[in-house]
Amino acid sequence: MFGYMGKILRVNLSNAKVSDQELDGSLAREYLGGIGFCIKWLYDMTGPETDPLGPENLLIFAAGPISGTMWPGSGRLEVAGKSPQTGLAGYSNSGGHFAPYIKYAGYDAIIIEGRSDKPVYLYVEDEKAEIKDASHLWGLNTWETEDSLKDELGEDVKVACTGQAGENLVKMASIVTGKCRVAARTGLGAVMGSKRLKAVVLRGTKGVRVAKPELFIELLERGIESIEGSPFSEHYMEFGTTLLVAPMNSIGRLPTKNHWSGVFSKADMLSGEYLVEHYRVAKRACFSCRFHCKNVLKLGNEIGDHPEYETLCSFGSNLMIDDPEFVIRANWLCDKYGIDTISLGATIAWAMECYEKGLLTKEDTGIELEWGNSDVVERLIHMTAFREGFGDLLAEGVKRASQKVGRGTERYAMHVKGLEIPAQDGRAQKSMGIAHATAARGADHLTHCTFLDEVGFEEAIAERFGSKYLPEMANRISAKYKGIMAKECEDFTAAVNCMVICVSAGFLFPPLFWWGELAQIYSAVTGIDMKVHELKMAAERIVNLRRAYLIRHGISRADDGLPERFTKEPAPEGPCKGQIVEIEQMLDEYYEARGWDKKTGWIPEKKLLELGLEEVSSQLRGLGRLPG
Amino acid sequence: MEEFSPARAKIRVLESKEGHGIPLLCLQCPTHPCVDACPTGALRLEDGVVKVDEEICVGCGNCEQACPIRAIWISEGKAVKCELCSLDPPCAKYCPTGAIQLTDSLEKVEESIRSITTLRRTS
Repeated sequence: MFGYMGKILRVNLSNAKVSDQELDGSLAREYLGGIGFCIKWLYDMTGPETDPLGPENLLIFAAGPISGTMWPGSGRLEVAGKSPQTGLAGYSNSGGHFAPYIKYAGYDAIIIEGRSDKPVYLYVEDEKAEIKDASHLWGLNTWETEDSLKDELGEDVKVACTGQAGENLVKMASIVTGKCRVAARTGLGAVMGSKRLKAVVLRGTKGVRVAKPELFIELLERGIESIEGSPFSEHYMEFGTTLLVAPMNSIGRLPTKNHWSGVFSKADMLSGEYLVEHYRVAKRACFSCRFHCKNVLKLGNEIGDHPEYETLCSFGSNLMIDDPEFVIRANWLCDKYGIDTISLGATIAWAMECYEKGLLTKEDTGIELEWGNSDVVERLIHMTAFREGFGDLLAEGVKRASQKVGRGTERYAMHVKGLEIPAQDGRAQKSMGIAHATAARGADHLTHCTFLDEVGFEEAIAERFGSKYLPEMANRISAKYKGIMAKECEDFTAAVNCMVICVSAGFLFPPLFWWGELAQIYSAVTGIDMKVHELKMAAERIVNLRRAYLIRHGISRADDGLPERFTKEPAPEGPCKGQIVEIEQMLDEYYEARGWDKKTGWIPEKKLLELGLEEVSSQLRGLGRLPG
Repeated sequence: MEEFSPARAKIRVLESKEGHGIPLLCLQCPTHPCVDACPTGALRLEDGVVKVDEEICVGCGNCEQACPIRAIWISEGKAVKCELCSLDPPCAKYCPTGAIQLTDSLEKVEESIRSITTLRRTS
């Protein structure tokens, strides 16, 4: 096979068995790789009866057909399992250098099931896998774990591991590769902890074969030219996502004070410009990336990557903190413990607002909570990682924590389907409202990547959708056409996450490459002649299968909602003052674009059959969850 | 490039403890201690470029020890090093930042050796 390695590594930790499974050619064609494989396996091998923290759950590490080639941004890793946070399909994606080495070690993906009696790590080298004792690593943070494994095995190994948070089954625990590249969302670090799997370690000398090397190099050179020629690239290469802080604040979309506002008066202190000027010591790139968007910062004796935009919000503006050094430290602390900064920041923001409103008291928390107090936040990070005191409640995530406390605190829990809302505000950018509401993993901006109205990419919209959608689609505070944009961008994002390429390496941002380019790259690498309409159908199949997984778990239109803060509380200040998210209008448009039933949010049989999902259709029929 | 495999490349990239990437590739230094250390004559200078004769190399690793920046190593029993790809090295072509350049300036080579040696020491 070209592009694909042709093999899946299966690991059962309960009986310490490892085995190779051949990659089925039709799976490759229908589900492409990366997120596509993950969703297919989750659908086939887990379900409503699966306990996310039980041995029956899967933990999947997947690469894709483009991983490990020289395509810019082809270093992304897809991790999946049933999420302990949402109880639904959990998937998370990270950069770094880990995913290409799944392939260099001989595999397209690693599927782990079962539970070990004692702490172990998985070591994979050139088509050989071994389950090894990790009792000496248990209790170490992710940075210590990575250092220790490299001391033991050599500096050329690639490591993905979980920290104390994962060991302590903190629901928002993450999986960390290369110390600072994190598959953070949906709590898959807790799945790792529940399996007593401390780390996966890779070493490999295999190669990724390309079917049409000359064509691939031609496409690559053209791609590099587009990237270098884009007016957005230079700024992005310099600052990465931290460049978003200032512009997002200026459009009123920088979540502040538990998403109450989108404007933070001290945003300058959290900007990429400030971080680069005061703390940068080096630049860093993920595998094979032209964008090299990471800045390495130094603070005291420590060095590590800059906090991303998300963290500058979740531990900065959203907690009313304007101390950049604290946010840098908090980011590293969360990376070390293996905690999702988005989820923990949002859960702490909830606690602070509830404390301010008298819904939580010192009796509940043990410490006084006040906006902007970074010392308190730092204590809460430690307490959450070790589930100490009030941290035990925070470790459950904002949905469960607010349900446990009750007393009206649920109203301030900023989540959708149990996953905390990231650093966007749908009132300031309507497309983000529909994205948060409908993303399968819970509140998310990266399932849909609706970035086209962020700064109004009119040209890209005209080219991708047609000029009849202008000016509304490019207008971030117009709800019109955002359902259509969300559908198309969600399909495309799914396809990109199958390959697995970074969404921010010219596909979704900046908008340089679209279906045509992706189909060409895929065909050149794999030798499978993939037409644009076939690629679109594969992406749509994956998105629909993911939805079907949710429908099996009882999800319907009623769950595709937003907290009332976005739908009933008009934005209090800033350029979008007075705006709310017109969620019902956008949902109607989104379901219609998807061909889903507007009343239930379910998938009609016709749609499932069109996508070749006959079995899914009969299953949903059996559950009584096919519309009308 | 029909197959992508960093393990087979004649350049490696490490990371310093300070977060810098360290490209390890032979800088064709004028002192070439690897050539002097080779017991079999498998390493030879050709037009200023140190080349490996795989027929003669016995994989002893003396060159690896002798190189101040560890830009030569043993893989599958033979010494591997950069031989400048017929003066059209793709690593330089595809380097996104210009950190890798083809140059005939002795000063630049000496400066690179100094900085890589320093970075290696700190890592």
